[in-house]
Amino acid sequence: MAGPRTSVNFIDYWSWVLCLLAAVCVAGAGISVAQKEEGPFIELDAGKTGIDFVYRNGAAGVKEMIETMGSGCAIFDFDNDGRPDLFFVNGASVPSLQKKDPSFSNRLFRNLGDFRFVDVTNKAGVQGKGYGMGVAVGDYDNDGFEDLYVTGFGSNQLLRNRGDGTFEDVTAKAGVAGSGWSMSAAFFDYDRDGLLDLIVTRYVQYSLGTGPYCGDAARGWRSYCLPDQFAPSTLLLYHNNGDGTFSDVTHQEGLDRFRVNGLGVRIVDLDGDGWPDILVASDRTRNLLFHNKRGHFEEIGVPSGIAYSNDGVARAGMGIDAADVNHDGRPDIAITNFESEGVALYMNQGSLLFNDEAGPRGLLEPTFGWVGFGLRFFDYENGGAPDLMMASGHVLDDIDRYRHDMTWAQPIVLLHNSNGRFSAAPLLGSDQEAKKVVGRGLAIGDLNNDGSLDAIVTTNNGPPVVLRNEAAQRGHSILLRLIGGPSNRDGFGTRIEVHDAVGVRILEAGASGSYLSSSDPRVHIGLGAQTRVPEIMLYWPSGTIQRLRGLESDYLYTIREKSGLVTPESRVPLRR
Amino acid sequence: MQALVLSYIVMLLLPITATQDSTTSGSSCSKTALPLYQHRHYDAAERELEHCLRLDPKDPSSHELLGLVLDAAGTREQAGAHLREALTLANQNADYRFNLAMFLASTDQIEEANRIAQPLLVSQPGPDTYMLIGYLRLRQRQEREAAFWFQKAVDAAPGRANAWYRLGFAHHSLGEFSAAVICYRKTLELEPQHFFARLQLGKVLLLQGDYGGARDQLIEATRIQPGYSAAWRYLSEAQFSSGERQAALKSAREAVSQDSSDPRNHHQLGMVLEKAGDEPAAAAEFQTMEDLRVRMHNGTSSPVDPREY
Repeated sequence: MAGPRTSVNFIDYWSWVLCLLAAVCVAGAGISVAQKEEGPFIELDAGKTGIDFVYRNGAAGVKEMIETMGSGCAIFDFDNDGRPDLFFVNGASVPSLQKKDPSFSNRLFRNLGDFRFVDVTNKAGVQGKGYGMGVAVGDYDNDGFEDLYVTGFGSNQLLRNRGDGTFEDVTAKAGVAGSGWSMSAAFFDYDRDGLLDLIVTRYVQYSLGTGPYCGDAARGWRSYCLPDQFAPSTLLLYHNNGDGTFSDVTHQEGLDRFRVNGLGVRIVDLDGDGWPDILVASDRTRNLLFHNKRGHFEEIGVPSGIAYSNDGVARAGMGIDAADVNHDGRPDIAITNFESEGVALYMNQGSLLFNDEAGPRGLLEPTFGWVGFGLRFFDYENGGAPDLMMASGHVLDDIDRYRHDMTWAQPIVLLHNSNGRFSAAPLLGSDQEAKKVVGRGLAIGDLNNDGSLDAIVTTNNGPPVVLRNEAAQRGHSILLRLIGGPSNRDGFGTRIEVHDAVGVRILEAGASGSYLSSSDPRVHIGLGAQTRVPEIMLYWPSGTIQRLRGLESDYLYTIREKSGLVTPESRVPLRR
Repeated sequence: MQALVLSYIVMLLLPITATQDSTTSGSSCSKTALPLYQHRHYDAAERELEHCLRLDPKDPSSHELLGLVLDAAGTREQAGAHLREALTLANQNADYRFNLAMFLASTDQIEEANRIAQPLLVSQPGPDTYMLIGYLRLRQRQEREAAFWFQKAVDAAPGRANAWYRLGFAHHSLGEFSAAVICYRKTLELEPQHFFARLQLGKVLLLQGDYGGARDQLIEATRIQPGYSAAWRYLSEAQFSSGERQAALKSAREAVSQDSSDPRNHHQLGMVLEKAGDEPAAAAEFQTMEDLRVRMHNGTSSPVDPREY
């Protein structure tokens, strides 16, 4: 009697597991597909876009940890033609760390409009060296052309944009090669001298071929190690000297006193004092918050409440971003974490105090099952509130050996913000079915200048996911392109106050955040049904204050710090 | 301490009757030792069973009971050897198999425990086996499958509070917080003094933003087990979020006084002090927290106390 009963049990069991797995798949994708509910994005393939980049991690079976962490991308307009271009960071052969095979080349794609891109890598001279990880964008020499800083394992590269479609490697002259395992980076003007400085996160202290055997040795399952096996690293802070060189001020500013497994970095003025603060997401060590006190830093991650979970646990911080989620005039912070941890949402309570409210605000359950990497707040429906997208993918490519209900590839999660509370939203429309990918980097930008924000998700050992925003119900918007002077030419750090029917919203110009990636530096303002913005205040890093009144919606405005005037020539209609 | 914790896990997992049942069919010699074991006279029981094994070295019931006695007395290596020998001598005995699997589970030998336990689904299907298999799946981080087995245990024995608790714990681990709340509440219906159900329910309600509900559960948890520091820590968080700052401070201090070696307790006390504006006192707590973490190899406190599985 026991026999047949048990065999029935087993049939039940496997049926149940299969159903569950199916349910998980549907739920995972269901965040994106959800029973014919239309999502705002269309996924475009390389045949349509010309973006034939494939990230290669160079894995050769030894399970070097660098293979599973990359890589990032950037959305930026390298040729000032008004169309955001794309840059992708690539790996290299392991263990040589060489890019001899062209398939390891970093890639630059020029935007031809209408989501058509052409590869200009070789002409631009941005193939890169070594094993790449992340990228930061900024006009460090204020010449009007965006430069690139590419991080990697061993050393980093500063590529100066000559303005003629080519870049030159000025790393040695600039003194920003760094060392160790660099991850995310960001340009920002921490001392408000009008020159962009540079912050770089570094992960663990790691050497190829010297790591322990991680995984299940008895079964011969060698897997990637987790960071706990290695010593943590320090950040790098470079001060821009204004003559094409930088000074390493990491020690001078006291940043080397903090050793963490640094991954994502976000620059944001958290207390509204006009000085940009530094946020660092850290993997199984505490997250850091460097409060900028008039050009010098004090680390206050622990007392601020963002270093750990509310329960005092160091989580696996990966990607990071900040936005005013609940329209209280203060930027809040989101950090992606490991599976069974969920995204953290540190709500800014003022006085540089934060409390993780991810659960009550609906972020925990939709993100709990996934290993989050890139994430970015952005208003995908132009409704006036920052929504959230998260790229996810496990760090173990063989996780299904250890956990039957977990996969390497995971969903891209879209979360809709309604009055400061988030809920999972479908990702794709037009009957497209969302694929799971091994998501890493995530960058947001308006790639076709239609006033709605598109997304690029990079994947580990795969092609990027290109998502065109086709939200049917989207509202009006405007884009602001800032040109600073005397502030840094990118206007990074400019605080934007929007006074409109939504209330008073704050935004900040910059490209940092997410994971290893750099987003469109133009400021996007969703307006909902409004066709005119009553008032926008700009607080430039130099101290300049500008008031813009009655801007008409659905235009890209170029705002110059010096003149501040919005002339007919300074606006371009968005192609809604 | 570790042995004590793991024994506690086993006690939570199943009622002790399974071990008693397993010995009822044993030799008359081993039956003499059973009351000694039951009354925790482990030395006497051990002497009696060694005497039995001198008389009959191949008596599986003596090996089995001696294994249980040695396990309870903390002599785990020898315990395992005797439990294994009992099963070798009586391979079809489901109780021996069950007890060995339990022992292996409690000593973190999860893979072997799983191998030993699997045939029980054929020979002894029922809530005890489902609970054991579910527990092993939880330890293997196969929470989805764990939930399946705990659901079967609940279906087979809906009056068993621990089955509901574990089902709740599996849902909780999967991020299915609403389902976890239902299971924890059911546990408490059946066993209002179930400390871990109170604790976990409080934790989930905190995550859901029901601070008042969390506070009420955690107050009750601290009443049931006032020596469990995590309950005070979570209570402090719930009280603070409910606007009860003085009570939050008191609870955070109690958490530290119950276990000053847990950096999380210092973190909570530090946060309450920081938010109350007492920055020097907060800084001292944060420093203690960081010092403790460094001593723990710069690692993290495990978010899950093994007792809570």
